[in-house]
Amino acid sequence: MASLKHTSEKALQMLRSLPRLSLANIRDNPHSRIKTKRGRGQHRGDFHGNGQKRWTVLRLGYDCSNSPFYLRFKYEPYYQGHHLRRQYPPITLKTLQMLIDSNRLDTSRPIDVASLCTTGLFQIFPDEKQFGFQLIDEGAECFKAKINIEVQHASELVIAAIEKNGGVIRTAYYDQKALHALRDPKKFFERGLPIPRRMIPPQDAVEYYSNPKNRGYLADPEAISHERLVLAQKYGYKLPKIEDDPQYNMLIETKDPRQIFYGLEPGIVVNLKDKCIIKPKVDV
Amino acid sequence: MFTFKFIKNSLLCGVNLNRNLLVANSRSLQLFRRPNEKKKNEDDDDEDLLPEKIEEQEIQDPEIQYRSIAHMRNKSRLRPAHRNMLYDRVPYMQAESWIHETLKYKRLIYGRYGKASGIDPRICFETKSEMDEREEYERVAFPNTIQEMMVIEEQKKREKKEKNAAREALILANIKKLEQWKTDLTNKRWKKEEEARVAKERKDRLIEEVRRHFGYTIHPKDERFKELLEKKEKEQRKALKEAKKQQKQSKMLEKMAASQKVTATAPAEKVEE
Repeated sequence: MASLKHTSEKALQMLRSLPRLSLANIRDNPHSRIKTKRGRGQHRGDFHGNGQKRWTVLRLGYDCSNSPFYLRFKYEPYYQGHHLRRQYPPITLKTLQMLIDSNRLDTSRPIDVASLCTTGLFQIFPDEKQFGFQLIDEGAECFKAKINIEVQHASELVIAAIEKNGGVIRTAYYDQKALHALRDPKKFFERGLPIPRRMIPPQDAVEYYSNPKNRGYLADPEAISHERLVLAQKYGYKLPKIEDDPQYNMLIETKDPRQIFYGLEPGIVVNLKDKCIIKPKVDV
Repeated sequence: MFTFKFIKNSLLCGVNLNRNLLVANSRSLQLFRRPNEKKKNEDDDDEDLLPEKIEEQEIQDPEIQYRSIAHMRNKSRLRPAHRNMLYDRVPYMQAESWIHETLKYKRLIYGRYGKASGIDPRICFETKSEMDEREEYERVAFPNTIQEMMVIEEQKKREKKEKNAAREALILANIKKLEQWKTDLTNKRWKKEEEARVAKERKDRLIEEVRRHFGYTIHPKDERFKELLEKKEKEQRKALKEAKKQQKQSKMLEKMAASQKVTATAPAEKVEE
């Protein structure tokens, strides 16, 4: 740890070794020298869109017109709040079936953002306001897998297609920090950080995630089972009984609303090298 | 396998190759030499590092022998830290930069290399103050619980519904009045047009009269024309006023006559009662 020195100390040391100030080692004042050569091109030789006047470099956003560029185009109200809206990159049911058929997804375990990301085919960028995946109904007619899946947004037909095969679908909200951990669990665990607590959804997302029709994770489980029946009647299929399924335990596996990884509580540290988890004594 | 054989052969063949290997290493060591030390002749340096007698002694100890072989085998020219990373070992056993002292780096090293890093895993967890800060953040960022937010959402929905219903009721009520409003508007417009027409006719008539008075067409901007027109207008206004007065009087008379009739008939009615 020899390099841990204070900057002022370093500067003093440097000064000691430097020569004394003299005419030989001082510099002119800035802009004191008159240029003998005319600049070419971008060095103030061009017109820069400023009519026929050389020797100018216009400010950013100006091009010698009366209205500067940044004021020229009017306000676009249909983009209001666009930068704050949550995005959900789509995955079709067809793609999901393909992932399952090509053994990229393990249907014997619940599927969530982490398992979708670790297929290596999808990426999530939480800092670009992407809040997880949405399932699209394309390929709903050829979807045949029985899965327990958790996505962030799903349409009615998607829910019907999954439940028809005896599967379970849930929509859940993840905040950006949680999603960042979930998008690459290995990388997250290698940072040696305790698993964060998942935040509750914002006000405008509460309605969606507490609605049993959307199979929201905040909805009443009884209401959800009722809605399952309603949807089966609407689309005209016989709802398979999950209770009689040999994979019952897998199908009912859920996360706590504050949990990010299956089976891992918030606040613990996971070490992949030692294959161990470390729990704090204090409850988080 | 190849490298092992190569080194074994070189060891058997003699010291020459051996010595060359170590010379390369000694050159890299020069980089770390302190500036105030005098630079020695390269040949001298070699001899300093490789006393023949010591080497013979070292070869007898298997541990040291293994180490020296391993040292000689390392032809990667990698820095020790990089070589450690290649073999999945902790890159720096001692801190060599301020970065290695930071909490983030230590956590990272623990996360990657586990127990072997020698770092106490307790540093991975947040302290009491950090925990408090996080809790405070959550308290401020999410003032409402999910249940409260659901109630707020319900209320919002209800308010929106009520507002829509009120607006629809207003529209329905207005639609009932629509026909009346339409006729009112047409009447108003018609009345205005009629008034304008009457006024124009009157004006035209006046001009015609003035023209007849002079006997020839006179320009309406002429002074004489204007004077006469004013006069005529005054007369007409007077006549209008008088006509109005008379009308009023006749109305009054009618009214009085009517009231007299009423008073005449009223007592008879009372008697009947």
